[in-house]
Amino acid sequence: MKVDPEHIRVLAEALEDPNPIHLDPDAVSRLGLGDRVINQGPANCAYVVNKLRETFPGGRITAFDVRLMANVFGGDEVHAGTRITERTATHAHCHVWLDRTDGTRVVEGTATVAL
Amino acid sequence: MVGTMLESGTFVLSSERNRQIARSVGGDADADATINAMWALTSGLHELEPGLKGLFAQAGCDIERDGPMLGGIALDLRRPLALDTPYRAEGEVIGLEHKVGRRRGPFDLLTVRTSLHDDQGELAAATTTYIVPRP
Repeated sequence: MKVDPEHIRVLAEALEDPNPIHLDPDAVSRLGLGDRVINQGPANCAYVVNKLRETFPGGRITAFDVRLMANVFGGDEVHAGTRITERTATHAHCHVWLDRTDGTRVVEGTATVAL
Repeated sequence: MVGTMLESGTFVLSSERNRQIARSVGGDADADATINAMWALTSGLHELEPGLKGLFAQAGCDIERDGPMLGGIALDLRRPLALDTPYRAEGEVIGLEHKVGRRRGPFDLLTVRTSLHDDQGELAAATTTYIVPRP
């Protein structure tokens, strides 16, 4: 999926996120991080959550533990992945991730879904 | 700062705010909203004095000048949250670690545990690590 800078703005408003790097490309430039607005970390995690829900319709995520390793900028394309590492009668334990299409890993960790 | 308890407050995720969050991340507004609630809670800590901005200030970071970022998050989701319903929010600073990165330079890892509670106890918790750049 492509990250729309307008969605970054709307999410900043919804989360009442006071960090200007999500709204102002000049603030990003001043920090030497690039020249486009930076997507919120929770949004990057949410794309992974969406992938889990798509993989396990009707399941409920009970644990989600990730590290954020790189930034996603407005206009970037990303794709989320999930791989089952252990499955019981009641739960699926998964390795989860989000990559930019240039191959950079952005989010990586584990999740548990109650089936 | 480690061990600092944030002043607890009341957290409500409105249906409208949940829709707004879901829409902006391509999610399903009808799905369990607990995760959206944790994004809303941890992004600003507005319900927990002194809030994220104040907490960063105590750590010597100006949120508007320094560009702190989310470094990691662990969610423990015990029961689904109901929309438009008040929950008690609690928070505690549980870690502050100084690091020096090759690309990033010096920074601190500030870890805060936040949780939402109802009459039955803890509903959901987040252990959030924020990357706080050091000048």
